[in-house]
Amino acid sequence: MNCKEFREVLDLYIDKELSPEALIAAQLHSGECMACQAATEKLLSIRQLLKANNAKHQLPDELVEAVHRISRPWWKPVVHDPKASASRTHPLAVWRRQITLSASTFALILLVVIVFGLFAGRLRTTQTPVSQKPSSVVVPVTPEASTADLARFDHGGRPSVYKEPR
Amino acid sequence: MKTFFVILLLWTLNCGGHPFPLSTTMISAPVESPRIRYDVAALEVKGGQRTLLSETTIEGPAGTDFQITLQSSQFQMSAHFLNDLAASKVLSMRADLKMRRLYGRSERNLPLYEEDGQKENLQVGFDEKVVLLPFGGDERDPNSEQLKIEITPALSDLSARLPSGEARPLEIKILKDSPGNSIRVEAMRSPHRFTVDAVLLEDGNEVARGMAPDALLGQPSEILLQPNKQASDAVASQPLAVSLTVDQYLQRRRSDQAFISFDVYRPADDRGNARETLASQWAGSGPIDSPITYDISNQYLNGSGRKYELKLIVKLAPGETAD
Repeated sequence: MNCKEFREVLDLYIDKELSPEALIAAQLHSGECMACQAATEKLLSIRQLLKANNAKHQLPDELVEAVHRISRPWWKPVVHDPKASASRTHPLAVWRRQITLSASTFALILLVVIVFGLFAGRLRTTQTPVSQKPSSVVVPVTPEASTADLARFDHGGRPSVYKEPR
Repeated sequence: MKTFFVILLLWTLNCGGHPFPLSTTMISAPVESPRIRYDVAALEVKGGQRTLLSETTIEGPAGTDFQITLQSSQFQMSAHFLNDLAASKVLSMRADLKMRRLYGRSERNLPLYEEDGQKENLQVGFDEKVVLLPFGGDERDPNSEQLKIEITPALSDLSARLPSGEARPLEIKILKDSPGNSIRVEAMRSPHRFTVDAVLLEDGNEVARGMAPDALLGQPSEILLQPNKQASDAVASQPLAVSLTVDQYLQRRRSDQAFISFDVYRPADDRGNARETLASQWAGSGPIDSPITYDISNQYLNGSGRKYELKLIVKLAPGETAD
């Protein structure tokens, strides 16, 4: 491998994407040619410099505020928080993040959901079962019984009070 | 000088709110009325089998009232009991029952209710109990399940006063709560016995007076106004009477209020004149111990050219307390 061939595969050499045979040939040439060694080191330093500069790139705060002002819901005020802008290096939305729960937390949430569902079902069964349909005549209502409701005792009688021996 | 200091010391003790030791021995302790305990038990009765649904105990001085309210999905009932110790072993329990039941819906889809109100006076011994059937009895099926509320009165063993000397307050203990909190028991204490003075004024001068010395709350009392020496012949020949009821007693910050309703009438006399109603279902309210005045010139001796006023004063009966 001569210098011209080495410079043609230099990017692949640095990226370690050469075939084993080509890699050996490139290593042999680089060990013998000081110019190609210097070219290799120069390209590596440029790459590192680019990486470092890319990591420091951040959006200007004015731009972030302008975008928020356009896209925010009308009920949320615009708040500039330097800490928040500093933590925007990973602007992943909440619903896209992976949430991990422990087994006990998941079981607790599941239990709360089941209890709430049972309670809601019980409320629905104890509500007043009055007919909502309009009609042209008076519609008497038949009391419906439930375990907690005293309507099961109601047979349409009149209250009464009296005394009796113990 | 020593005598002066002794007198000063005794005077200081008296003014500082400490009772003077010698003077307290001269005052006899007031006779305390006994305390009554009411056991209120709601039972489900079916085929002779009784199941306790709720139980509450009320304990308080004689004259403690209570109210039982019952609420189901389509039915409301309240039973207010005004209680007095009529004799040493007899309770006077006046029950005021009110019921409201959803009957159906009108053609405009509005709810229709049937309502009922009734009053019962019961003389209950301590070997008896009061039975309240909120839904009544089912005559068609005596074996059907029935709600029964039994009120059992008893003389309490608790003293009328706490060890500190203060009057013992009434107590409610809920021993078993009703299902769904559908049966509620409340107890309260308010004066039941009042003294009512009725005065007839003719042009601002008192010409007749009468009194109901022991008017019971919610019960009508007849007051005959007796003409005095200043009464004219017209007043003397046509005496007035008032049928008055103290409907309610309310404790307010400045002064307690009495709510009254009354009829004014001329009673039947020996000359064959029948009773004549002059004013019917008049009502009003005013501070206790203060006069409530009504102009009855248009109702009584109208055309005489004189102004007649009826002045009514409601007071607490002797021995009755407002706390």
